[in-house]
Amino acid sequence: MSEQVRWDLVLKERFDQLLSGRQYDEICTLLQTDKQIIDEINDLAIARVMLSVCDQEKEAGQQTVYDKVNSLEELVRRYTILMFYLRRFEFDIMDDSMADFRQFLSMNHVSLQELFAVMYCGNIDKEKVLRIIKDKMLSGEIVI
Amino acid sequence: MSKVVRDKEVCFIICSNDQLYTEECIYYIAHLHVPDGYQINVLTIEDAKSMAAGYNEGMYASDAKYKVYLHQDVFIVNKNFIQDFLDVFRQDETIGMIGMIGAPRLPASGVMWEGPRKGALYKWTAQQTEEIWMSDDAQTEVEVIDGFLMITQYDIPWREDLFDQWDFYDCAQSKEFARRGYKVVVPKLGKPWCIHDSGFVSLMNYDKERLKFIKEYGQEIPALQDKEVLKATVILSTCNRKVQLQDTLEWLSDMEGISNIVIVDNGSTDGTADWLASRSYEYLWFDEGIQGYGRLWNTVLENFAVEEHIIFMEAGVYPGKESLPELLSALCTDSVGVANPVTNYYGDDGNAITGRDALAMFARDERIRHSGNASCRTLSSNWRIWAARKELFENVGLFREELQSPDNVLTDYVLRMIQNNLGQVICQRACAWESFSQGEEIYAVAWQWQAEDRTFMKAAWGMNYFNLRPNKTLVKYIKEPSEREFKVLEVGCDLGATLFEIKSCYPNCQTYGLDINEAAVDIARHIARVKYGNIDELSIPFKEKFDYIIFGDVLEHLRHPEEVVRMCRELLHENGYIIASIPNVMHISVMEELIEGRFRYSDTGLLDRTHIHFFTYYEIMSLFQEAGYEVKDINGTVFNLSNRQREIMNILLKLSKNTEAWMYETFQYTVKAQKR
Repeated sequence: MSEQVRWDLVLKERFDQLLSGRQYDEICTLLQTDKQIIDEINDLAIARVMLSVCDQEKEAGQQTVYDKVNSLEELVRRYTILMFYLRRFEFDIMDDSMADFRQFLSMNHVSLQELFAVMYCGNIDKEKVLRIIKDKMLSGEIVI
Repeated sequence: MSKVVRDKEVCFIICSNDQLYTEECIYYIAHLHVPDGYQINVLTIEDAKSMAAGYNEGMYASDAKYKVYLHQDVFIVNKNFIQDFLDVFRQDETIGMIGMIGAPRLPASGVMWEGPRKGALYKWTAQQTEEIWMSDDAQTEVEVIDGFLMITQYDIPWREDLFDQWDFYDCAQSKEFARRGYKVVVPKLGKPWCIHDSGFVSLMNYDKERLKFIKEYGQEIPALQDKEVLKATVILSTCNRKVQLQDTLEWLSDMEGISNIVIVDNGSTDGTADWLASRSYEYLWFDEGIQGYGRLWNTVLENFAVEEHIIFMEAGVYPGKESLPELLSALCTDSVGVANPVTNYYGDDGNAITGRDALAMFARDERIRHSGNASCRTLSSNWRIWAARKELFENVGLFREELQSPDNVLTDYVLRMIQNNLGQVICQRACAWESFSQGEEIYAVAWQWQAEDRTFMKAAWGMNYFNLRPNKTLVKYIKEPSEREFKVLEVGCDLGATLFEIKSCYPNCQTYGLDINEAAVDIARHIARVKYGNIDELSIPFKEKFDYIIFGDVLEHLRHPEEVVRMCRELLHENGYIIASIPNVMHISVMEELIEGRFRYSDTGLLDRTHIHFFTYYEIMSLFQEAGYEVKDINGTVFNLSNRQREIMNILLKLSKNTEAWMYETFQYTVKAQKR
């Protein structure tokens, strides 16, 4: 029996090729067509969520999240870590991780648009997390 | 020597292959309240050969009485988790295992997701984290629990001897507890106790493990004991496809679910008749030439003995090896009249199967991929392979012999069936490979048949065309927990195909429709609460308020779209949405014509003769913003442009700072706007 094509691997490889060539229009096309298939491949679904973040960052004249990563794996890891931190806020277990969170935001040049997008997808009580983030930004505990 | 059991100790056992996730999982465990006198520890098992093997390794390595087996992507957010599960175990020592999601009764397939479940969790996917609630908030004894989190108070070996992959270890362990007389329960949860980041799961071995589970525990699955063995008559039609006929017959020869095969030779001239005459098959030969399918199918039904279940198919179609029983099972619901399998040309994806060899893998993947939703209601049919019960023809009657093209014969029949309150489904767990090239016509007379049938269908149904396929793009803009109750109104619902799709995705959704075509309303009202009405008259015959109002290619046909959209505010709940698909008059194809001095209307497309209003991106945004909505999402459908179109677009882009390439590339916008 012939090997089934692992479409997820093919598409991820294609994404990495396009990302390394900074071919953003082609990335957009890749992620926007066959949405149903993309949505079922988690890493690419995350990349698609980040597309709208890119658009917002571009509109604001900022460096986009795609410019800050070199691979899909890196993009997904970044998303995951940010999501983990935001969830810790939501479930009141941030504890001593604030310093690590600040460092993560700073070293990875996380934009507000990116943070909000991840919060929208990763948190249940978004209003609570938004309140906490806003308070911490006002107090200067977080700088984005 | 018996093992010492530490009855005030809880051990968390995690099979790990992702350090990031495992560390986060442990972080949450470290923040749980530990009851006085108790202690906890965490064991991570790396490089486990299988889940069962990993869990056995963890189980034998710990003397803790209570063990929590969880996936590395599960985060326990209930800080009183430990006390809560201790309370459940203490109330009844016969409770052996606790889960967060469980099936009170496992379906005959062995797939938990295909039946009702109890429990709750927060489930994450890339698009959102949602609260999944499947509980009436009472403790429930279940047959099996989902393996993402399992808590035990007794040690029973995991069946690594049988289950050497990453599936069905959970159902098997539930059965092992039952074999020893212990109960498995989902407790009263209050709120979900954990988050599960489901993500992408490899289900390559799922079906193999499922069959092992059925083989081992089949006698202990009540649903399987109730299941009758279904068999069907296959009516196999052919016309000048002798080789494919022979191939298909060989393919069917060892297939489960077939009682007998009746071959219909529809006027072949390639020697099929002679070949059949030399064999012992039951067959019907139309020696007077090619027959229309209305007459063809009726003749078989009137002249041959058939089973209670009938599968109609064409030579050159190859059902998946386990697909026929699944297809027949889909007919076992009283309200289902016709069932279709997923094929490479028919179904959700339009998969491109490269050959018959790939069918087995494709069939397994399709069954796994859709195992949460075994059958979906549909209006569109696949005449090349479909199944029905014999009693359908007694209730609804035979096919109309005035109709010749098989797709029209079946469409007409399905509409009549719907009028008799019977439905048609795609059975996601049944697959077939169609060996035809896409768009290939089996019959040379197909075009003639279509033209003649069109006249008859228009007279019979009062409709020029039949909108049988749902607009899945619009449906995807509805983002609700799958169990949620909410109301959707589709304006211009036609036959109700999209409402059907919505109901398939959201079983608790109440669907309403409005249309100005009385013939379409007459069909659609069997599918949803559909009424005749013209939204342009700024009133609708429903008193309800809705969570979503859908306009699928409707607004451009209205005289007063602004007023209609404004009026919809009164029909929507707070924070309700309009979802609309709207063609883009700024598409480069229109520009291309305009610069040549043309603005040609057509029967379909962007310049459909019935389009009264025309929209660009900016006009769509204004339409909704000025009517009191916030546009939450707007996306475009794009197609490849020709070189000429790109050339024109690049010139036009230089003429204005307010336009971007995608405004010319977008053929149609889909917008989701929320009432402010």
